[in-house]
Amino acid sequence: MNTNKPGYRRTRRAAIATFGVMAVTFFATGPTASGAPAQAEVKPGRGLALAETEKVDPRTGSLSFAITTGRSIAGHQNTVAQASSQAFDYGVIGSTAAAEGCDGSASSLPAEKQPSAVQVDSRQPNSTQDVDEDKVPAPAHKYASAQPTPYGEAITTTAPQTIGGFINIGGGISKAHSGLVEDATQREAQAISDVSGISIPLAGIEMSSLHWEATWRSTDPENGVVGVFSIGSASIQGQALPANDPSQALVQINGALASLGMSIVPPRAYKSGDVIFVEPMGISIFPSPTRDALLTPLLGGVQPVRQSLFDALLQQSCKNSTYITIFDIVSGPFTGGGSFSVLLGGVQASSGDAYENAFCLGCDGPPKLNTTNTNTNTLANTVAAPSTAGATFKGNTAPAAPPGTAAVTPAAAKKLGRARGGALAGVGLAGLGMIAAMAEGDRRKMRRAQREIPQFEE
Amino acid sequence: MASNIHDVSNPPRTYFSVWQRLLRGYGPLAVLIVTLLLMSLLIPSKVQGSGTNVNTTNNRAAGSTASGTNAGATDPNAANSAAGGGATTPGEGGTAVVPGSPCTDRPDQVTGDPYSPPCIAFSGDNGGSTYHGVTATEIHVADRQLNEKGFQQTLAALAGATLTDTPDDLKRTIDALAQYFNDHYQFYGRKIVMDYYNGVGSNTDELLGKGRDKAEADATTVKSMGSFADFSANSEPYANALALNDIVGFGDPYLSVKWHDEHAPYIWSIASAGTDVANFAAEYAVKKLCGKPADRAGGNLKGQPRKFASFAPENSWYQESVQVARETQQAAGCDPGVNVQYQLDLGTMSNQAANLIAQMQSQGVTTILCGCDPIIPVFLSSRANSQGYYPEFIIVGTALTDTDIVGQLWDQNFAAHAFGVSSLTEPRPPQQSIGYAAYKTVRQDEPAFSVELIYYQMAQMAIGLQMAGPNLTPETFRDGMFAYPRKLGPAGSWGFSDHDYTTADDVREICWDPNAVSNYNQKKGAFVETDHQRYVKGSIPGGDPLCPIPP
Repeated sequence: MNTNKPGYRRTRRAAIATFGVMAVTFFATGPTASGAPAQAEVKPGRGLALAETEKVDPRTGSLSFAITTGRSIAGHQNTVAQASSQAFDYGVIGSTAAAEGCDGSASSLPAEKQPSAVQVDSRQPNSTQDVDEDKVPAPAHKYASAQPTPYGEAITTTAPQTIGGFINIGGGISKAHSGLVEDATQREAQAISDVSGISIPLAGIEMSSLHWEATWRSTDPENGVVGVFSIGSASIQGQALPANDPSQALVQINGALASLGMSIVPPRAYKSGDVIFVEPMGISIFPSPTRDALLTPLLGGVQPVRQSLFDALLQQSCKNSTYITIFDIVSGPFTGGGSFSVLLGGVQASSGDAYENAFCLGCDGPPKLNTTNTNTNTLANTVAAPSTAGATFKGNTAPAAPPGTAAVTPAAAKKLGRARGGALAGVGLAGLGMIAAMAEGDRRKMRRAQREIPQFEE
Repeated sequence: MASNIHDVSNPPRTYFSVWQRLLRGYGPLAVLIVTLLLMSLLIPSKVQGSGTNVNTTNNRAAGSTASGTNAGATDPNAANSAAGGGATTPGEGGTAVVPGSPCTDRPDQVTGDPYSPPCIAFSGDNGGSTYHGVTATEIHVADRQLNEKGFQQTLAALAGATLTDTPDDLKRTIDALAQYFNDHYQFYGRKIVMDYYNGVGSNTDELLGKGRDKAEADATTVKSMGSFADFSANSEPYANALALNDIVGFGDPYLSVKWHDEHAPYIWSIASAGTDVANFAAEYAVKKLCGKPADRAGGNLKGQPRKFASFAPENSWYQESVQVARETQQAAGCDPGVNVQYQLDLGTMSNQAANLIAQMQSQGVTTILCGCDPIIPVFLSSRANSQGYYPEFIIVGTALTDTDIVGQLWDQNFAAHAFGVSSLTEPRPPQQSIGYAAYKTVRQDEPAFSVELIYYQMAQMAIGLQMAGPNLTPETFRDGMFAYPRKLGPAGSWGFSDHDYTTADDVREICWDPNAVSNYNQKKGAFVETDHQRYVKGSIPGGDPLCPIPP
């Protein structure tokens, strides 16, 4: 007698198809449906990194008239990355020089003859530029690249310089990157500045291999937020200083500089909001009561004399206003109206999730407007004290981010950005029910058909 | 031997081919499976409630522009058309009649937009070419491209190095926002078309009162282009030249109500009118400062009887506002003190600052009302600090003097004594702004950093274009603006009327805190709010300022 197995072939096939569809439906409506990110995928978020190698920084008030050397900036926001590399930036002085004269005469240094930044954007076709800076006498190189990964990177290289004949600064390189790294598993912004060395011959001071580094890896906030300053070696009059403790070395160096009326301000690493800073090392002219008591009346304190003198100069030619402004800037450190510093290095980095936007245009309900003032967190609450071992900062020892800043959450630990349920769940369930019903109907039909088929014996 | 019965009426399965059997027996199942699979793969999962913009069908490819997209455009809201009377009431003396009707499905044109005008449905003939730059399908808006950094970009660069907007970034953002308003607002079958042109003028020169001839040449170019409006009327010489050429302009910097009246109905701005600023300053001074000691001054001025100085550029359109403030103070029995004027000339600001400080110091001024530009306080504060002169410095919100990036440029010993009123809101990252949300409904990439300012300026224009009705002219634009119901949003209270051609008709009290960290750039120094309240004209409460007394 034949078995009934052949009669259940359709049933088996229907069952297999049902389970197949169930499996496909499960995966199709699961976490990876509709282009949703996989469990371990890191959202691009945002980031910004900035590094500089050198800045000659006269200030009036807090307005900097600095000439900056070796600036690298990289940033990203969601899928767009940007990067900028600038070998020299003449700043306000350059802008003033580029403007036409007060008497309508041609500018003294047109903008097109001044060095400029290369800035690239990942949306551009030519989003990588690698060029020499040809508008300054000293060799310099600019590199900027921005990819839709997203990943932006800038590297700026500058040659050694001498400032005012009394400070020799070695070659420098600044690097900045921001975006997804390590096969897009980590979000990171990092800024690094390296200066090969600095010497102040008058005081017999030499330092080498100065290094600033700021990293904000928001996918690893415990260990990925780091600020570092270090010195390779330091010496006074040929006597080596302990370089493993930059703070201590700088104390001794300041002792040697005091006779010149100068001091070095050590870099500080600190976190403010969701930004990690490592400050530049400042070489500044410090206030001297004896010197300033002598100079202040001469330079700015005797107002009637100053006013009549400068008014006369301006009447002679409006172009003298430029010299008066320069005089005011240069005399600022002595009159209390400003300051003058040479700054080396200086980096900052920040990254995190993209900011939430409360506006839903076309949606019901008013936007959630934040009317709470979040500006009142002072630095006293958010700045880490300078480390005794130079300047270092680790995320796991940092004070908590102040209210109002975006929380940094490891991407892998976050909930995925879509939800189950909705109309598709109903569609899936109905479909499965129909398949099951069809399979059952088919099975019963086949059983009936089998009973009706005559059986023959050989 | 076995035999089989072959019944032709009920053939065995082997009678059909495999494919025939498959289709006959499993055809419906196969179709169902395929359908289910397609539905599973193509229908999206449950849509997120927050942060998802409603318009996903209008997304445009990168690099696309608003220009040239509106030929034969149909009104996006035509489906909402319903019979009924006019949707809005024309303003006083207006000639505009809005034949559209209120939408049946929503009160606002864009739900969730705090500045949205009332929703209007429209279908039919828009009248075609109602003015130069206006056709049946297009509204041409010019934008002057200059070979220089913008005002805000310059200030941002001064405050510290960062990535800046490129001209391409700005164009892309303007185009995307134009597309947003084309898609969402009621322009009666027309679309905004941005026409960029390379100008010969200089905003820097024009803001300093120079370059009038080049500004006029640029306005003539716009006229020859046949534009209805210009989106870049950011200086007085250029705005004035546009008005003289019968072109609507947006963006003038804090010019007085009188100036706007004289240039009506053409020039509009999201910068408060200088007169409004002056009135708020006067009200603040009268209610909170007059007749009291200068407690928030420093040095030997602290606690002295207050003596005021108004401090503003000498240009007539700024001095008009100063006179209004001084008269208001005088009418309230509050001595406005000396009127100190200066030249808007960057080259001489350093020297002027020295003279100005000496002048105010010698006259015993304890309290300066700063109706000034953002740079003069840099030199002024520097010079004052060198003289140990720390008067109260009253912020009234002119020319971004109420922004963190500007305050950070001042001498901080001096700035510690700065407080006053501002029509701006608290700074926030651009990504949290309404402009960013609007941009994201059109493009999936990132807008310019200045997207919020661009958005507000374009929103002001779009409100007028909608409220004007189909018969678009500068006059109906004005009437439409006057009919716009007052709205409160993140950029303050917006409303327009006779003598009111600018936004932000309310202020909040702010104080400079040298130790606060700015939300804008995470740097030290920020303006902080006192009571988190906004005040319209006449509602500033009495009593002392709520700012802490500096040590």
